[in-house]
Amino acid sequence: MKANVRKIGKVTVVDLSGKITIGSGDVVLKETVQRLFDEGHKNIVLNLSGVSYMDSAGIGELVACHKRALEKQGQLKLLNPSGKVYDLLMLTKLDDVFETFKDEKEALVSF
Amino acid sequence: MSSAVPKNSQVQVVVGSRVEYIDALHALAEEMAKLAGLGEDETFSFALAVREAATNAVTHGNGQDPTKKVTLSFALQQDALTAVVRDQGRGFDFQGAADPRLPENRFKTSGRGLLLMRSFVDQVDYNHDPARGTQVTLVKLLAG
Repeated sequence: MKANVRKIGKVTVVDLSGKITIGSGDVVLKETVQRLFDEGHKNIVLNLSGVSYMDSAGIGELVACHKRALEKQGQLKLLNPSGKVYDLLMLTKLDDVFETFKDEKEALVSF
Repeated sequence: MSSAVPKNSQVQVVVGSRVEYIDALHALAEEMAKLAGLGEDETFSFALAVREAATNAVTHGNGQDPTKKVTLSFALQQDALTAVVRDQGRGFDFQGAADPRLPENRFKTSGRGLLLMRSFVDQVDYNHDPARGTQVTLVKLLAG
């Protein structure tokens, strides 16, 4: 999985592409988000439009990122998850946990 | 291509318990689902269920000990595609597993694999023999 970071005003957008799965994608996600919070970024949007799917380890890492955000008094929101990824969020009831947007501009002004 | 594969076929692979092999097991599950004639969504679901069982076997069952084996077997029959995942580990309390959808468990960073398995195939069976390890059987029923 690849992660590309963009800073737009007070918000940091992470464009993720590939799959968030055990052993690779989950590690990239963890290290990227950890680094951003350590660097002082508070408002993070994970753009999931390029993520084809996740497994339970990837889902768990998303939850870990959310908890990390809370610990750092930050916010982490999701942008444009694909159908399969959104289905997984629904199945695991995490659609209630993550604020999710379909439009990047709406995500940016939500902070 | 699927019509060329007789509906009494079996495939088996054995790997050491390394996370790096899970993608390969997932890919094999996808190919078996396609050979069984499953559509794109059902192929995705079946393969993800197999992935979760394989991940449990590698990580929880065998503790990522590369000397311990994970065996993945597929049986393609007229009415079902079955995957069996065996490890050599100490077992896992499937019955006592917490529901990760409950509010008190929603912020846990693990424990969703069994939910995915149960959601994505028609039947999940679990057996543990202290002397031989754990066996998880995933059954996807085939139409027609």
